[in-house]
Amino acid sequence: MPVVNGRAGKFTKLRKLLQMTVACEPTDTRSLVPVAVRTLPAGEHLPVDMYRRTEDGQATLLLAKDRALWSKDIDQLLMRGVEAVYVAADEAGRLREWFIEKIVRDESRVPAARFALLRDAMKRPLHEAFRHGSVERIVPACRDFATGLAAIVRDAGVRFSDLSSAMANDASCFTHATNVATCSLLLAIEVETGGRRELAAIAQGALLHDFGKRLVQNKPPQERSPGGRANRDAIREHPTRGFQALCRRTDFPWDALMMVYQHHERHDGNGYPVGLAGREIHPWARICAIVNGFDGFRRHRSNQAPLDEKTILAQLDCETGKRFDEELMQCWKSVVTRKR
Amino acid sequence: MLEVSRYEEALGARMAAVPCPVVLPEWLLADFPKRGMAPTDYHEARRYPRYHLRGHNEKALLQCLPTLPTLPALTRPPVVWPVYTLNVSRGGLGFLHFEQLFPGEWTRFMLPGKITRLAEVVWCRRLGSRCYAVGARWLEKLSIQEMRGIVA
Repeated sequence: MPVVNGRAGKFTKLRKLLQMTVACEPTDTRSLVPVAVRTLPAGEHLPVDMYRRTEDGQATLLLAKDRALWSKDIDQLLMRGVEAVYVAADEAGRLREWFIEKIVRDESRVPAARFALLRDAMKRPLHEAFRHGSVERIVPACRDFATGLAAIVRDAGVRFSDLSSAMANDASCFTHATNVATCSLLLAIEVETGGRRELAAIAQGALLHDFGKRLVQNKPPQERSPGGRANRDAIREHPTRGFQALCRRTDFPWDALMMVYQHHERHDGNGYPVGLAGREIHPWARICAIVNGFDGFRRHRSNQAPLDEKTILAQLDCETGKRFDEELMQCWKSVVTRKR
Repeated sequence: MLEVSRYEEALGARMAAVPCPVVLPEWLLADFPKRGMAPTDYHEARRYPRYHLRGHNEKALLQCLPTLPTLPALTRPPVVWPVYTLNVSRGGLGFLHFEQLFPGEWTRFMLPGKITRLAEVVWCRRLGSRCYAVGARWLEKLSIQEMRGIVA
């Protein structure tokens, strides 16, 4: 059992940590999940074993569970270029729940800082779950992330203006999913949609609203080439594909599933995949459609620069009544424009 | 044999007489009755040819089965509904139903000719407030003899 001596010299403790080998058998790295070192809470007793990856690709025990990693240890790991440590895949859920609970309850940080920390902490595990490709890993990871997001956003007085500066606007799918989940929560709270459980389900549905895009051929649309229509048709299948991948799960609520299936339906009935109109579209899907459109304009993309919020709202206003529900659009405008 | 034939005729007549809750949109009413082989196009990917089976008396009986675990039970009461058929092939069926069905749902069909089959919904498209076009694939393909009996 490795021992961490808090009274050791400046580098002695770290050297001991990095040199610990074969205190247990090296672990197959395929069964490990990465955790960003920057997001580890200093001074907290971690509930799981932590591993580091050696140069030959094996993993060795870095820190046994119920031991603490201090600020100096974290700084020195980062100085040595160690950006990630690893936990066993079957313990990742436990660490995730513990970690999210710590972040959510940390009242020494403002909500925007907690939001950014939670987002950064979940990026790697979610990326790994999606890379693995198994819905069995993806859905629980998203559920935990959604629960943490809902708890932070639900804090009394959290506004869009508090969080918008912390919300990234790069073109990555993770960023888009996180922003749509956050904005969906803000709009759902504004229209008083349900309690804690419903808000977590809304965030979960929003995180996976574009899940089907992984399952279809995803090429940039070629507007003027013969294959352009085929590519556009393939992309329009993604709500159905996402629905089919998730519909038989008992841990993914039906209402959240409607966000995945109906987020491209239009108020005027000209959407897809079904062509529902007005109130036939699930309310959560109508929320997702608005914030999905909003974040689409906020993001850096190859063919457009990100727009400011006033311009975005003006663009979305043109679609009110056609693409978007008018009442929800008014609520969203008041959420975005409300200042302290 | 005569008694079986009379039974199937009587069953077909009864099914045709059952009122259907589907409300056909006006643009579809004019051109609704249609029979014969459906045309194909260059991008056709279906394995078996489709046959139109459209008409105000062309109906099948549909029962939705509880296949999606989180679908609210109230939206799928254990009732048998008449539906308008659109087209049929050995691999699947197109039909009109009065409410939305979801991909992955299993349904049990009774077709004219006393053919009963399970089908899985593949797609659904709204045509009107009480008219949804649905495409489903048979979980067990129809035989050639069964197809002849249906489209004859």
